[in-house]
Amino acid sequence: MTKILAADDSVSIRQMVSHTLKDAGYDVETANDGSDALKKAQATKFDVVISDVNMPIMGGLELVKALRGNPQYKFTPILMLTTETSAEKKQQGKAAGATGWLVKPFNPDTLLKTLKRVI
Amino acid sequence: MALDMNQLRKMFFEECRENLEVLETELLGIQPENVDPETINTIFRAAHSIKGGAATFNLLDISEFTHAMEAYLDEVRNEKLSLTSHSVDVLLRGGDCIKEMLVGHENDAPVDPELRSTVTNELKKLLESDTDSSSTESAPVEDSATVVDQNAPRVGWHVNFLPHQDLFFSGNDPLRIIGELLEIDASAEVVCDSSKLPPLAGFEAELCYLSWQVNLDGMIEEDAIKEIFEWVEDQCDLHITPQYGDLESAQTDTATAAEPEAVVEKTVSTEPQPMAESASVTKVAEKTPEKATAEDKPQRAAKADSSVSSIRVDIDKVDNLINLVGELVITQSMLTEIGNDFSNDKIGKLKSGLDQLLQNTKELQENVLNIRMLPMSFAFSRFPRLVRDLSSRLEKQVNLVISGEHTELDKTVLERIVDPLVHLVRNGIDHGLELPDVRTESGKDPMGTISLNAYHQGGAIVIEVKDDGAGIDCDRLWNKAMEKGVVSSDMRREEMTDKQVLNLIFAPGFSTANEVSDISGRGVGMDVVRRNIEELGGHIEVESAVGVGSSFTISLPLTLAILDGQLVKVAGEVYVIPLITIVESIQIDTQCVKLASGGIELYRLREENIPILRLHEEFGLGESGSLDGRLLCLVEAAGNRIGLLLDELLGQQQVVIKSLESNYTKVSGISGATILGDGSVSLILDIQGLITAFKRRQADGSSGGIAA
Repeated sequence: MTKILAADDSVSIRQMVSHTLKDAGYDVETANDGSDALKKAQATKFDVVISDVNMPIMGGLELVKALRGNPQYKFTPILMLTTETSAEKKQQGKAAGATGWLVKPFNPDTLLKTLKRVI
Repeated sequence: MALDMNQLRKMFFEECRENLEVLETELLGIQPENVDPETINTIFRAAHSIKGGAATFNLLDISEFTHAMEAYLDEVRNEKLSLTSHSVDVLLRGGDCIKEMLVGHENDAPVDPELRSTVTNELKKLLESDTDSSSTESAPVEDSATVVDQNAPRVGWHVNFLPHQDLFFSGNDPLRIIGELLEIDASAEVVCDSSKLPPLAGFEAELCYLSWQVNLDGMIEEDAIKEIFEWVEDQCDLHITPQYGDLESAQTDTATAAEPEAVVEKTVSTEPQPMAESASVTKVAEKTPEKATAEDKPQRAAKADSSVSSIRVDIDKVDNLINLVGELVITQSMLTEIGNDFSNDKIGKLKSGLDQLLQNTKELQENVLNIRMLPMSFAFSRFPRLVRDLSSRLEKQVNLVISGEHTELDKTVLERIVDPLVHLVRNGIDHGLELPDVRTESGKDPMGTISLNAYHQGGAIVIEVKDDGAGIDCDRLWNKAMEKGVVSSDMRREEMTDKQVLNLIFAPGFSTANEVSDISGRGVGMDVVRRNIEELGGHIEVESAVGVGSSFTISLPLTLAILDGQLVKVAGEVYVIPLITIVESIQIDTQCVKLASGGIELYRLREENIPILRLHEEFGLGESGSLDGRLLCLVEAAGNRIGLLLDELLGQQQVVIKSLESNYTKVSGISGATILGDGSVSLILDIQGLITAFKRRQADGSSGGIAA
């Protein structure tokens, strides 16, 4: 089963992402922020990582950089789930090593569709 | 498992409140001239989360409004604009607006649009120099560019896709992209160009050397193709060209595949980005109205159970509980083992097992109660804002000192103590603290101090509200009380101690303010404060010194589920008196008993006459007989003292309160029941109720009054 790690500091968004993915039959783990996600990603190998950009302690961009530095996650799809739509932010995400982005407002169908693009 | 939107929505509301609190707390702590970038980040994040969540849950008014705040904060974060005390004010009011909108969504209550538009305008003004960034996202931009070539007879698309070598490092995969193209057009023609593959010796497995030519059906929208390449557009050379008219060009396309460089040089398209983006925004905007109405309905239906409140519990507390339950199960199985095959020589084991059970039960009880415990900061956190607003309105300088905010208190008690605390703090600033020049004149620091402190004392929590203001002048208070008829005209000032006079401020209908201001004195007096506190089983005391300040001390039980009780015996029945109400217990010396008019027995104890209430008669348990040498338990409620005549004092113990009202019916003089160790039911005395009933009887029967 495809293992997905979803990081977001908002409980409601986290729950929603996790419900949606579980409903669709994925194996999901969630993290409260970047550093939590990094810890979890180091413990288990995930097939896809979905992360918010703005989070306390460790933000999404830092998380991507850290994950890309780990040989296990060199090629793993990492999607940014964000409200930031500016080209500049997306560019920053890209530069950090993100695979793609999902623009909030979060929509379950879009999430699943986007996810299909990477697995 | 279906997505429970209502549940999630509720969670979002809760979360949003937390974010608002963060926003407010951080903003209040800011000194505009010296702002820590991390603070701005925290504030930005709070606003950002509110916006994101609100958009997700289709609360578009909130997300749009918050967007303006976020846009401004973003500029501050990027050091393009700097915070001023004015902008902090605007942001604080913005937080208020969001709060109002939240409540509006929860209760279907209309929101004052005026406040919202004022704040929005002010935010716009703050952003003046940089307004354009706020409009790009929320307003759907209709893009006409996509329509341009729709009229032309297009027979196909020619897509030339040359990934950069490092494409894999972003987690993207060209094969997935090709796969997606095949999904929108199953008959697409795909040609792979492997001419760039190096000889095996120089081959690096992690790099991408291939490129592709894909010919797609002309009926497909260009945007659909661009969307597929959206993520990799800057990691590849991409060229999408429409093919018109005849078949020839399509064939030449396949021919050019051999020399891809030529095509690349001609056209490296960077266009798709903005177009694809606006397209996706439009889609979202189209969807929202119908979705909003669809989701509003269940929300409204769920309104009825909005009173069902939830509590967020620290995971450590839950872990602890689980551990304890585990222990309990072990102890239980140990005891079962002993019981299965019991003989007298196992009595020692049984005893130690029972001890363990006792220990487990105790800890479990404590931990379960602990779940409902929240730190005082939940109540205290609103005060910085309150003080800030009040001090500027009253032109007073106030320094708020908060301590003990980590002290934990039962959620219900905490929620119900907030209003009384707000009242006390308001009073302290409005009536207590003097204006800065008055303070300077009397040699004080022009800045007054209000302190809030909470700490545990025994089984209770004590909350203090102190000010270093003018203090309460007892003589003036007395005159005022006479004027308002709060004390009967035959009372004399000398008969009362200063403390008793001070207690008059808790009398109904008494206000110390000369004028009713919009801040205090709106009819909710200190009597309500005291009543609220006493309903929680607590009490309040006041101390004050002229020129030095006043101090209110509130004692509250930690929880409403359990109380520390004194077991007493009256005519063979065991009753429980809440320990917190007991002042002292004395053996009656008949020489101190006097008979007042109306047949009331008064006990003279250190300058004070305390009426005696014979519980035997009160509860119809027979005659109580002579007072000589009997026990008198002195209890106090609402500043009134009374002596309860008892037969015997038993032990003190914590009792679990069971409601009599919900299981039987309300009984006057009894606040509840509990079950004792031997299984018998014992009634818990309602001291306040007993005193009130006693006073009422007395007022009916004679003109004399209880000396308060």
